[in-house]
Amino acid sequence: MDNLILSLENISKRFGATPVLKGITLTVAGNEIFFLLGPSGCGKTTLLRIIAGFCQPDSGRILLDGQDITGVPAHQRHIGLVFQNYALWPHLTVWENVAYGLKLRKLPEKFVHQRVEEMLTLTHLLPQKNLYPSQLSGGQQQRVALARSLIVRPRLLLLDEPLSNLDANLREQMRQEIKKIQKETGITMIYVTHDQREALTMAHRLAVMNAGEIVQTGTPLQIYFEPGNRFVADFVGTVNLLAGKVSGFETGLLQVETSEGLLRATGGGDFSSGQAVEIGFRPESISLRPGQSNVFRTTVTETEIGEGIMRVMATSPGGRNFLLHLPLETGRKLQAGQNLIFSVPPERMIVFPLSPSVPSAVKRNGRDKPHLP
Amino acid sequence: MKKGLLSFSLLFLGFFLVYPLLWLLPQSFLSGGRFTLRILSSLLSNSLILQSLLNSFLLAAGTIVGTSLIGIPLAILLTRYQFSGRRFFQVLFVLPMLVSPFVGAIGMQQILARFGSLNLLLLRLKLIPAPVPWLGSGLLGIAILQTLHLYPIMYLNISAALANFDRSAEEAAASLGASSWQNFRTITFPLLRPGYFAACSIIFVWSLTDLGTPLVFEYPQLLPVQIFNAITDINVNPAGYSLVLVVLILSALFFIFTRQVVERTPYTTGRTPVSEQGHILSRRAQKLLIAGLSLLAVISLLPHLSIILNSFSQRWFFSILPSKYSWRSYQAVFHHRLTRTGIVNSLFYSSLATVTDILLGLAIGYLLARWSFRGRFLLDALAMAPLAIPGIALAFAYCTAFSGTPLDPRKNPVFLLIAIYSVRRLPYLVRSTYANFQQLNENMEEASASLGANPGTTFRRILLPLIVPGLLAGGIMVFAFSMLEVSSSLVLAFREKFFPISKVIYILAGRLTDGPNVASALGVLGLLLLLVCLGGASRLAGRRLTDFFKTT
Ligand SMILES: Nc1ncnc2c1ncn2[C@@H]1O[C@H](COP(=O)(O)OP(=O)(O)O)[C@@H](O)[C@H]1O
Ligand SMILES: [Mg+2]
Repeated sequence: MDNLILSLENISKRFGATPVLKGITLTVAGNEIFFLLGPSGCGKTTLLRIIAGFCQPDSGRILLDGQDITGVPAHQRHIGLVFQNYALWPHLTVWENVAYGLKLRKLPEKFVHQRVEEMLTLTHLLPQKNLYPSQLSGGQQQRVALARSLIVRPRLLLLDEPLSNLDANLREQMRQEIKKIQKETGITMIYVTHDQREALTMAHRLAVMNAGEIVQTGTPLQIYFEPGNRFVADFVGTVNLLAGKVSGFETGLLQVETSEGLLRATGGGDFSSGQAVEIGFRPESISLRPGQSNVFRTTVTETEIGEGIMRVMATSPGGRNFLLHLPLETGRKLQAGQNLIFSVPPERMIVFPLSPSVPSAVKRNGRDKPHLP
Repeated sequence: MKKGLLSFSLLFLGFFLVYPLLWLLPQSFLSGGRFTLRILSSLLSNSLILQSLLNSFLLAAGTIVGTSLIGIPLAILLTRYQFSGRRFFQVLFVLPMLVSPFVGAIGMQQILARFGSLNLLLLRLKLIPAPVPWLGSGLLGIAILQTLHLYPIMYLNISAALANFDRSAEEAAASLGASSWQNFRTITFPLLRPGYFAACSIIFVWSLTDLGTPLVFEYPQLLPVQIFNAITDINVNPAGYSLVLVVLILSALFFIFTRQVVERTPYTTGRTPVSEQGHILSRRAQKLLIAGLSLLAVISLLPHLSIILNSFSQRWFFSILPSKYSWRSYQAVFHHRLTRTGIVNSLFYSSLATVTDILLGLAIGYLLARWSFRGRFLLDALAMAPLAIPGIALAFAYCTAFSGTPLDPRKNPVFLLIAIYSVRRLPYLVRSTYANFQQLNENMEEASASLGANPGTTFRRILLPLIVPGLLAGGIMVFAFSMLEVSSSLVLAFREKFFPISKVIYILAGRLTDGPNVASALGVLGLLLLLVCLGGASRLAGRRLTDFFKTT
């Protein structure tokens, strides 16, 4: 991890008696989009405001390029912040909003003019430069907020759910634009969202937060395919999970005894025999070709078309429900009542220790969730 | 920075509000360094003072009856019925409260006198056999003027209550067989009660402490006049202190009572407001209603009309209208030394009071909206306290507390006049800047800070431009009301050199020959100034004019 830029050391914060952040430790490297992903109310905004300097942590340190900035006032930190509600200044035009940061620095008029024009071009706002914020659409306001922060080349740019007020199409378009802008400017971003899809598609790395704690940090692939606990597995994507007990190791495979028989998964050196675990797989991890291990014999109960896939609900003889994703062409031939045998390769199985204390994530899309007994 | 603002605000309020009021306490309870109730009890043995107290209560009660009789039906008619010209009347009926009845009293004397316009008109129409003594002992005349001045408060409060009131409550009662009157008594009135009580207590205190009108009508047996007179011989007669204390306690009690009533009403908030439509009236009913409202409008604007007439009249004896008109009074206004001094003085005092209030309002509004600190409650309470303190009481307190100091108003009242003007209007400015800051999302300031702006720059470049319109509007209103401030001007200005406009008007009104006409002309100019200011302010603030008069 070269070019280390921001590190948080054990940041804690309470509002009154309720702890909102419980010892956050985090490192964000230069030149990446780092995501903070977590459900509403888990403390994401509070953490951002602490990094930006609008809120003092009760304990812990913030280091920027190795320098302790915990007590430095916000306006001397050189950290940009894009607010969820944009916070554009209604009495200034688009141009004046964007130029504000440069004008503060008393730079030559010509230079300011040139930079503002560049920035407005980059964000496609040049035609709107003389309009006031109230005359802009949501997406345009969003881009002004972005341009206003980017133009001073902050050491770090924080974005607090910047797209949550836009409609779905615009959101998709803005995701691409932000990614492009990040690539072109090379500014390190910390991006807060509660939208797992946004985090998975845009992040270089992400941290999943829950109830004031960071529960897992990693690349999108690691988070998706190797969730470290039930909360992450549930909150990021969908997973079919079974409770089980480690029964042994064999040829590098972890063996877990479950109600559906013996299941095998690769890796997992840190499990001990007899340990209670949860084991499962993502809906799209299955294979219809006969496999040697992790074979499930089920009956199809329901099918529906998803985005580019077929969603299939199937039940095992023991009464377990599984959600499976199949290619459309394969899946469309299935009908309710039909038998379906599938297997999951051991390297695609997900295993983590049973952790009853971690509450399961609240999913907005309840239909995606298999009914687990 | 914030600490500096806080100390400055507290210092100002402490010196010009808390200190003079606290000063009153030892004066009314200490005699020769000992605690005593003798001074208070001596009030009860003084028949003139007892009579004055009684008269004042009578006057206030009469004014409440009068304003209720006009204000409640008016509010119901104007909110519940639809007819052409409704908007016009809704604004028109706020106007009477603009000008203090003190100026109107000068004109009304001409109208209500024994051989004044009204009696002459009625005699000519053969409606009465002999002149009616409208002014009677004077109390009735004062009550009429106060009623005509204050009923808009009743009307505004009741209208506001009616506006967020669920009509289905009445309809439900009607469907159970309640008659209109039963409905009003059992459903409508109880729901209007908080607004009604709020209006009553404002009107009561206002009427109880009005100094200008009784002075013009030369009716001394009233509490405010007794206080006014007590100032001259305060060193020999401590009764004034106790009288002021009585007034202060009464108005504080009413103020607290009003807040309690309004705050403890569970059903005034969260109601979906009814549509503003109301019953559509038949053509005939509309005509009748409009005729009635127009008559009321003429009557209630009579004081204003009368001073306008008076200001233009050159001869007006034993005739319904002046028999000769001229501009003479207006020329006099700009040529007499006294009037010119008054205008220049008032402009000077009011401008400085406005600047003081803008600075203080900005500081206190900002602190209250953006900083949570110990003592926040205290600052809030102090800044709002002047709402509960009658002008005459504060002016009296100034007179006595600063007597013998370099600020002694008998020597030079400039400082104290500026201070009292700004203290009295401060609550309005604090409230409006506070609301302004509250409406501005704090993120806008943070966005500026995150771009590297220090707090001063953020304040100057982001906050200030956004609140300037509201601030200016508030400032204009402070200016206008200071120009026309009555009781404190009458009490605090002793020497002609320092007279503000109100005191000049009062002095002129008491002079024979053309005095009242010149006073009226000055009053008309004041009225014009106020109208211009109101127009400017409401345009700036983008708000309806009536918002400036929301009293609770
Ligand atoms: N200024 C504050 N005072 C009191 N509680 C707060 C304050 N700001 C946030 N909270 C509480 O802290 C928790 C986390 O809030 P926040 O950081 O805004 O969460 P998120 O941005 O993840 O939705 C919430 O329960 C919220 O109610
Ligand atoms: Mg948030």
